[in-house]
Amino acid sequence: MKTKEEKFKLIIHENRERIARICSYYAPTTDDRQDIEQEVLINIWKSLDSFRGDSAVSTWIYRIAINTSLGFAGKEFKRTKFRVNLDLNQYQSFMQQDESADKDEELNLERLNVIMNQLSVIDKAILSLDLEGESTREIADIIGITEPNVRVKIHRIKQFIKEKMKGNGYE
Amino acid sequence: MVMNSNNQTTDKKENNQSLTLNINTMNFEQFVSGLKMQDKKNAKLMKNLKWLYIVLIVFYTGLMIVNPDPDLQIYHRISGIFYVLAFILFALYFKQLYKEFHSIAYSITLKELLQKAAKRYKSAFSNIYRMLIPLLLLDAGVTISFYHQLSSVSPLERIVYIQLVYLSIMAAAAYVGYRIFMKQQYPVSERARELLKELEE
Repeated sequence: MKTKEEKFKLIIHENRERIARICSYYAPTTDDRQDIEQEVLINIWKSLDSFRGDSAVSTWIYRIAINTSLGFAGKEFKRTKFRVNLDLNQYQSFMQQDESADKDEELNLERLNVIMNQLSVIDKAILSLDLEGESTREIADIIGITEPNVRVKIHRIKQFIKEKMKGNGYE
Repeated sequence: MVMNSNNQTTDKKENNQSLTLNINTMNFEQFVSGLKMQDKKNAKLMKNLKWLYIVLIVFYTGLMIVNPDPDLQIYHRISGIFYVLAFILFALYFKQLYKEFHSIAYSITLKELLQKAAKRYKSAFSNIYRMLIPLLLLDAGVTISFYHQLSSVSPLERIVYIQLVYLSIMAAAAYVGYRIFMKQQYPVSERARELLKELEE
């Protein structure tokens, strides 16, 4: 029987990369990122007693990370700054299921990241999970919406990015 | 379009390495012992607060109700009962609030979290009625104890003066509470409602 401390250490050891990555989406600066990481770790510790294993550990961790990062659990509202900073591989991986996506398109990644950051907070949260390679089922389980709804939202996000990348309405 | 993906990818890799630096390099043992210490501290704080209320209630009960001092009039003792009852209800109310705030679960879905945040706005106002009974008891206690000290004016005027002062203080406190709420809690609830609407679209 593992103690709370042992369970915590094991979970953090196995998921440290995941936590760091998801926090990076929500924190534009290194200082902010470290603050969020610390807050996420504290909330994982606090939530550990109530973790019954009904969902996968990764799902549970993503929930805590996203809920903490969006700042809705605290006493005071924190206006979330969200930064998506894609590289070419991530972009191609994200768009690969879209048949109409131009795989050979040369990308101005700076422009792409500006477009990504025009998305709403919800869309960015979904995008961050999709970039993490989570399935629609897992995303639905983390966000609390249905799988078809997740698929529709991902489709809309891709459409939005494609239209913006074509230059329509790019600001 | 400008092709700058190679540089960006290199930057991104370096960036990713620094991302994990915090969790990987932090003194984990120290962090965990800090967490455990915080848990202990919170538990101790709750225990101390509970005892503080118990001591205050016992002290006030002794001072105002069962004190054998012959100078204490019956109205002192009656007002003491009202004060003690008000303290007990306030203590229970704050205990409930503390419990509600500290039971925020971070591992629920985002939708559930937003629903709870949106509800907090409504429940903050619906909680006001829970304060009414202790406030009325406090009012009764204040009125009874000050009534006899204002012997130079008529009984009706005494009550009116006491009520004016009491209600003014309560109104000022309520206004400060309302301003704090509107600044801190209301934007959270508003934003939560907006995002919930977006989630359901």
